[in-house]
Amino acid sequence: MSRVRITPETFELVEYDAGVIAGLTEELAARVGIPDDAPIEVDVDEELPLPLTGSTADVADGKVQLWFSGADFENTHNRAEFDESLARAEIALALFRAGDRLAPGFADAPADEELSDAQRHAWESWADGRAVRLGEHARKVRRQYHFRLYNGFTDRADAAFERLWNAESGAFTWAELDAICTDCAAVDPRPTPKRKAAIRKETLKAG
Amino acid sequence: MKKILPVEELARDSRFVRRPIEDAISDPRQARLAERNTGSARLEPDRPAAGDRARQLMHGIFVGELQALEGAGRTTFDFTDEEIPFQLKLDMARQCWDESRHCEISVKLSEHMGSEIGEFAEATFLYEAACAPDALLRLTGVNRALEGLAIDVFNTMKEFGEGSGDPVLSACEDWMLADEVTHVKMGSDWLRRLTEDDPERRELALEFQRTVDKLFSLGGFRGETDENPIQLARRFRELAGFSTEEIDELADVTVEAQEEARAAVAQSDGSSA
Repeated sequence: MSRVRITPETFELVEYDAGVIAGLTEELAARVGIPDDAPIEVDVDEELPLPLTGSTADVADGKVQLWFSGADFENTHNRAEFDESLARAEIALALFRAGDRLAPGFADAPADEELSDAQRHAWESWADGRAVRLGEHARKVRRQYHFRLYNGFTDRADAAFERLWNAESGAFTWAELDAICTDCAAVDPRPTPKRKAAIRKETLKAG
Repeated sequence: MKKILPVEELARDSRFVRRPIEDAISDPRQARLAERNTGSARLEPDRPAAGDRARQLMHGIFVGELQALEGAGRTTFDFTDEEIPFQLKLDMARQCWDESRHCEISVKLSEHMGSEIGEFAEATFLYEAACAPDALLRLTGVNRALEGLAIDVFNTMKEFGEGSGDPVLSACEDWMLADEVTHVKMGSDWLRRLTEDDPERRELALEFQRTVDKLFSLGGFRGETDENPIQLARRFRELAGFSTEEIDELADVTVEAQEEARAAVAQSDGSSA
């Protein structure tokens, strides 16, 4: 029996295949280094189209819990079509983040929906760099733009991004990752944001 | 060389993929999405998925600039000097120069935001609106309606750049915005001059402008509330020669377009249930 469970089992609004997603997740989990005995739950919200991208990666009782907006796997040319290359990169990124959470240095990291946008994008930059070195397709400039949006368009933020992008697993604890964001914020002239921009499950319940 | 070039013959390389606007309208996810609380649609840095929404809009601006260049270029060629004044052609040629620069700026901005040329599908209805057989309709449909939309879009992106502290985006959008105000002003001036003694023809041209305005307010894309990603830029429209009454009328058109989109979504949801 597979340790990966996909929700929904059958997609109705998009041309995605739960079996394909499960297979990719299984393969990438092994390559990322998620322990073999860790169950993985993947929840895909098929109602969210491009450009409403977003994901969360949490760990509860040793179980990896990933949530993705359907937009994360969507072909940018053909609506509702699955793009394997995009999906691989997004799943790898989320698995790296879940893997970080399994390490003792991340025991005190807040749940994903509690992260600030600055923290989320710092963490994703670190994970995306690792996914690229794993051989997955991701664009560094796109990631840097997102990082800058929430950590500042400053030289200090750019230096921090390079450090995150080039770091391997185990390079940071949660406290160190958070400190990088605090350091960027110290020279960011913008006011502290009042709201969080990341797509989160809690903000997307039926209204 | 062929006059009135059909949209199918526009030159594009293999990076570009075209998709009809109907694909988006008939997407069953739209109805589901309308029932959910995804927050304000207004493009601001602290709204959901702001980075990817801004990237996609920037790509839309790029292909819009490309089609605006093609449209203005056609107007310099599609009509004889007997059909339209040579000075009007000169203005269109000047606009081509501006649009070429805007294309290059938009490519650079897309790269700055991490996008690639052709990353998103291209809709060609802007060029299609720019191909009216009557030059006067091009002035209202393109210069006043579409370049007017460009004012709203650039102002929204400029504010997004300011809000996110991105000096590159805000400066570039500000420069392009200044050009767009000129393009709209050219349309307003030529409309007045060409129809000075023909109010009936002017009204027909303005009616075409209203149709294009409504088309480009589709689904609440543009308006003055938090439900609209693109905000109506009243001040810049005034600078471009729009009267307060005209701007109010446009605001009404955007509300109407939004209501129609809601009704269409409700109908599609009902028929698929």
